[in-house]
Amino acid sequence: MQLEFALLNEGSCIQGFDCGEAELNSYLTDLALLFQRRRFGVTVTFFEKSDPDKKVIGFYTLCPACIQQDSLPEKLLTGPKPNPIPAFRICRLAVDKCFQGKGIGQIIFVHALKKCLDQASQIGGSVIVIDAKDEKAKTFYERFGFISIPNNPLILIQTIKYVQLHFS
Amino acid sequence: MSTHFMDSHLNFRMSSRDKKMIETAAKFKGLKPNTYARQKLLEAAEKDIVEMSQLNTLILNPTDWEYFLTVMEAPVQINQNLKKAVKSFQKTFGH
Repeated sequence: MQLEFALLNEGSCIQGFDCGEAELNSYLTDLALLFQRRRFGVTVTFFEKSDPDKKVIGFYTLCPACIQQDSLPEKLLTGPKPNPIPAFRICRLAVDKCFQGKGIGQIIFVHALKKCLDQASQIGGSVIVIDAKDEKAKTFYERFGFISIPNNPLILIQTIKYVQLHFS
Repeated sequence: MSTHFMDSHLNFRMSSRDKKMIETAAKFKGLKPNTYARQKLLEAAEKDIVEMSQLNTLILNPTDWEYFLTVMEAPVQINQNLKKAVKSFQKTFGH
């Protein structure tokens, strides 16, 4: 299947998108564009190249983020890492039910990683944070080497240098 | 509700229909329209700020922070699943 992608816009064909998760569906149809207009993040949509209607079959939302500690211990104050640490956050990613199980999710995921990598080389950013919807999603990201945080197991992280290694 | 001195202004116009609705709602709540509007605006502003700060800032407790730093410092190794996925992506999009 040949895929194409575009930034979400008023003309995107998103009605009827159904990934099986009501919350993610309504995010795409009701909130994603608003989110993007306010410059909180961007949503990239994917559709079949051969589809004249360009019906969206998958998307992800990426936003700038930072990671910080709730209280910084004395010993870290002189450490080499700044606090907070600049990051990218893949806060939503979904594929329409009709297209699940065809490897599209992983292509969309890698597209998001590539975007992070490109942005990191332009403006900095050293970590990618992922919000996994549930255990199944968590397992999906773990397959690609992302690591969940012990006390926040549905939040996964990995470094830009790790992602870069796979593109070189 | 803020307990600070009310030493500032926020001016805006609205339709008489909207104003009437606010006055009606305030009456139901037993509040003056201005007090009601201020209270509702503050609640909405606080909610929006909390939502956005939660979205863009990941705050870790000391244990998770230490773990995070360990991940940051760890030597990177190839993950075959990701390597294959990158190849598949490059085949699809040609870059």
